Amino acid sequence: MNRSRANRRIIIVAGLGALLVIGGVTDRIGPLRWVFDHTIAPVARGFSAAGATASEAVANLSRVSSLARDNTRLEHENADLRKRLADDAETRSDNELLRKQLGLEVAGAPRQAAAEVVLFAPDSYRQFVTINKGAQAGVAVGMAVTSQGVLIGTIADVQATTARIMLVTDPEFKLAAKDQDTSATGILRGQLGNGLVLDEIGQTDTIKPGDSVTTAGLGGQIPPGILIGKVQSINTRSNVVFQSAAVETEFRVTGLRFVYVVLGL
Amino acid sequence: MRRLWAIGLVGLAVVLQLSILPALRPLGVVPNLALVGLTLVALQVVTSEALALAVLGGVILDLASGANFGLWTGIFMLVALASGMLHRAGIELEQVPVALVMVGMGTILIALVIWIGLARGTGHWSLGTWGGRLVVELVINLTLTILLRPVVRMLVGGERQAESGG
Repeated sequence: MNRSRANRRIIIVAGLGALLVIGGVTDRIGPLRWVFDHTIAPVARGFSAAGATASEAVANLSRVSSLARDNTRLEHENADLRKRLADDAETRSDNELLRKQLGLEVAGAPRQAAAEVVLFAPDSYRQFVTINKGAQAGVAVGMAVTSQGVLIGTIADVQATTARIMLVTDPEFKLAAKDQDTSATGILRGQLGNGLVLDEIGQTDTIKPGDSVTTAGLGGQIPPGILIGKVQSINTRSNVVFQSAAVETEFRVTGLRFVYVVLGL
Repeated sequence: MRRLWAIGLVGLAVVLQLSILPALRPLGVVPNLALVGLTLVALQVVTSEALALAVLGGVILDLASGANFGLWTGIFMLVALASGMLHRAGIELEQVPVALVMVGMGTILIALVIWIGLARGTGHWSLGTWGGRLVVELVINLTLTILLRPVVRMLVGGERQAESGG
């Protein structure tokens, strides 16, 4: 091959690559995104499902040795939850009665849209997944996404038939959250390696290990009360304005397949 | 036929990079099969073809990433251009260390760009955790390079000789 011809080809392809990158950064590659959503995403969906199943199988194998211990712990937790459920049922019926007497609307369960994870972010550091529901299904930026009853992230970007979720474990994730037991509020932040931090909690607020952390519902489209995780430890120092708490979430990105987008009330 | 194999191998690596590998996360990291595949193919085919594959694979990965659009396309284009420059400089691309150095540098570069992007927006990251993750990723990627190199050479090897005259 003639070297000048080879160089010309290289320059043309490199120029095309640079144009695509500039188009992507300035968000002017809508048609390319459409093609991507209708070609690569469906192909990858099958592989993602296979990966989730394989991951689940591996996790089950590693859990066999601790099954008896987990079973005992879950039995205790189940008994505790039944008691709390009975208490909650009574509180709910009182709440509905009082709301009716005061002429207030009875709060219903939020509407949800089920979706399947089709793509994952390709690197070890950022935590994003793409789902097969988008604007056509009513999904919008900022909505909460749950899996197995736990918040896993919020919608970061929406196309017609797909949407991208920033997971709670992404280092740039931020959300107003509160201690469900004491109502102490703070900012929940993601960290590399599945842990979360509840930051900017007032020094006078009470927070203790084992408390449930839920969404605070302060502004935005995320309703309050969605479970995020449990307080693991507290970091309090007298010389700082705020205290912080390490929060443990049950959510793991490995094996993630089906999710629910909270569309609102 | 070799061109089809080159497209197929990079395409498969990219699809696996977006699906099975992040779902499995062996040892807590996502092995960079796309970088390994693209590097090994780029060392075998002519530069313009390597560059075309780099743009195609990179844009697909960028479209699936939630942040840093252009990172994958940029790194892949650098790998393709570097292979061409090394070839023109008379370096024997068939040597194992060439592939290992390129994959290693690509892995480090991707991590550094992501870290720099995150360092501006978040205060919650420890160099130990992130460095440990990078080391594990490097070991996995270099092992994959050694394991996959004979397969890629068998399927797409020989194209680079055509460029030697030009």
